[in-house]
Amino acid sequence: MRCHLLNGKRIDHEMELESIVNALNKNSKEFRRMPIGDIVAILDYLGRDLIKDPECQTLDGISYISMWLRRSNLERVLKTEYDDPAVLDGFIPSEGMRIKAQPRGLACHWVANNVTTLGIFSVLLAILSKNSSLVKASLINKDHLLKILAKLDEVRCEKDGRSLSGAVIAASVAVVTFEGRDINSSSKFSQVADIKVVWGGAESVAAISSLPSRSSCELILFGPKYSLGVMDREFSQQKDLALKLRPFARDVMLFDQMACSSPQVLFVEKGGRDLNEVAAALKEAFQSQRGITIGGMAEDICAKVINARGRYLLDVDRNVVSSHDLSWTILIDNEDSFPDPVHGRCLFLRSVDDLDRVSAQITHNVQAVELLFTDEEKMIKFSDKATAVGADRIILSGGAHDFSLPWDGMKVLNRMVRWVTIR
Amino acid sequence: MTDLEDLINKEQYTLQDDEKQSLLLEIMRPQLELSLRNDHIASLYAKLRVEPSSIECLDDIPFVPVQMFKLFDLATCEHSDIFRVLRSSGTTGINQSQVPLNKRTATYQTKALKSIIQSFMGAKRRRMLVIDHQGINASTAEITARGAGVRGLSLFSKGMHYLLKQEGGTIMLDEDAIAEVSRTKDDVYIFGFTYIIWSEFYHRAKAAGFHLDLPNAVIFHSGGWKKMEDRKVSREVFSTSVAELFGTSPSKVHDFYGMAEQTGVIFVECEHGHKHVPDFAHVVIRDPRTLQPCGIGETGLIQVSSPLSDSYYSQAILTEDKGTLLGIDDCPCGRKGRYFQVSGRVARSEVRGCGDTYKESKL
Repeated sequence: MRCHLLNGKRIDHEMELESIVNALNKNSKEFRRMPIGDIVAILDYLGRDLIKDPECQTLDGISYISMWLRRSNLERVLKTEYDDPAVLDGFIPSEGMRIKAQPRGLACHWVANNVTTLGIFSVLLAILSKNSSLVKASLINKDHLLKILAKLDEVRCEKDGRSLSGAVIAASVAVVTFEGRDINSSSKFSQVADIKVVWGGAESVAAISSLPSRSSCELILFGPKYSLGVMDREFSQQKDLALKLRPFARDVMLFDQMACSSPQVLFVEKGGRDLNEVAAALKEAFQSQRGITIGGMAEDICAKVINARGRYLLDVDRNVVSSHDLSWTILIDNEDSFPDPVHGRCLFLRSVDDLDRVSAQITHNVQAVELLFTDEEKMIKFSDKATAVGADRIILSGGAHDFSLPWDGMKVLNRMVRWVTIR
Repeated sequence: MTDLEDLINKEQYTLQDDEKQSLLLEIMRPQLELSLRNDHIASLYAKLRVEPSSIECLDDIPFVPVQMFKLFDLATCEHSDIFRVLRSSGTTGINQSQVPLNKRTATYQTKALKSIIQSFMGAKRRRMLVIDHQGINASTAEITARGAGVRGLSLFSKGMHYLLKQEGGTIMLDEDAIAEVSRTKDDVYIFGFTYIIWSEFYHRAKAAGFHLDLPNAVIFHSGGWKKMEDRKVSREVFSTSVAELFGTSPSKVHDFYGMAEQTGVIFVECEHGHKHVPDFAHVVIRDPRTLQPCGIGETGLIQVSSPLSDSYYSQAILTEDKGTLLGIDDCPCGRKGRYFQVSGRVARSEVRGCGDTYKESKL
């Protein structure tokens, strides 16, 4: 397999997996000794550094990554996942015993090809659980990941009068590429893992899950998911609807709507504005988005969007509102079921008599339900119904891609450590 | 007012692109008006807020994605006038393009094809060798693209010979037919689908020791380049190998691009490897993301516009094939108009992941 990062340094040559793993094991000792507070300080510094660096400023999602790395967010994440993050550093008293969160060891990451930022977020999960990482990067996220890890390697900061080095953390990560269809390399990669972190579609998740693994290996699957938006009638009646829809429109457009958190359909509760009026407001909201270019949209996705537009243009009972280019598309029809996604910033707009019609269709395949509600009580009631039948995340407008833990219904960091006790 | 028939019957590849575009627009505008008789086309124009009379250039004619022929009845004539439905491929009747033809359209298509072929082969009738088996051209009201190709190219035929035969579901060389052809003193032209020529005919014929001596043979072939690329067979290797087998020159081996939805319009490759647009058709390469026409040297989706049909919407069909506009009016072969190359279908991307899901219905 080809190794692109080892010992915190960018390289580019074929290596035996065993050599890579040996280096990671060696480097992980110092990393594990690092207090979690120091790790947070280094990542916080990295976040600030990234947006100052001209080479990193242009990376996809860099502002968001930078914000995610802020101390306050990291501390919130750690508190949510571990309750007391000090469990990562040593045994702490808890309910008549002492408890510690031991890293499982080596996290092997299979990163999907649809979202550029997935690579770094997957690695951050391992860092925040003090595991070392071996990443099988993909074409679209390799350079993104390598640039950020290169910056991490350069971090030098101070905390409580002590010098801290990001190189210790960066050395706990190796990045490789190999052909996914290469069963031999995939099997070896799988067998060295203490944790398998898999991001992908149904086909790849099934294939990777079935690769041979250690019996103690923890399998964390971020499989295929479907996300949607729901608007209550009160929200649709607001005067400045177009303005209010801007964050939702942005969520549709980001990652060319290929992420599991991307809304594919917006259901509008009947009784407020009709669909054509909502579409007109959405049009304005889409038009107001700046800086989300379509240069990277895959050609087969373009073809799917062109065909979807064609279907809705030719069908006398349907309608389409769209940009001249493929920047955004709204497909309007009279159905009230979950449509098969088109992706490529193609949002279905459908109305329902009753919001129960939406919750009744939710399954465990649903990840995020983005709520455009003004009625708080109605929002809580709907959220309870939606999550009871399968939705993992209820989010408010603009939060679809906010990588907040828990994710996909899991306390992920919690699963990346072994909870050990002294009684 | 230019007559479409004149445009078809005249010598091809003689009009400059801008001259041709204005002639075609003049012919197409009334056709577009008539196409609004189809509810789907009327819906398309209404939603895009386009009036045929306001269209000022060919590139502005609203296009229909080629896949729509599988989903909608795009007939623009009275249904009672339809005498044949052309199907794109397959035999199941599901997800096939349905192209309705009336007699007038079919006549224009035939004349158009004749006009194109004539400019590469001359007007003289020849024996036609078909590198396929006879079964693909069975006489039915609905024909497949393979059958349509054979029928279309048979215009200059003064006798057809199928060089393959099918026995018990297996395709094999028809050695008797090949032996008969090897004795002919007549000029011939040859037609087959690229992949079938290579996979079913060439290797078997070579292995069997066949070598024909047909120095004036002109070979037309089309389709299946994806499979050829998978087999690492270049166009040069194909042309040289097949020409050698028939004892003709590689410059007489012409690949062409066409589609069932635009029968009558084929884009034949000249000796410089450029596919040429005849005077009665227009090609625009569209950027798949901006949908704007591409410039020379740029690659995008191929859109074909043709005035040949008044039985279905042929005036702007956007394909899922990728092509590159190579030039306009200046091919070294001397043919005027646009020329381009085809680089295959839009490939399924690897941009898949956690969002690559389908709705899951509750049982």
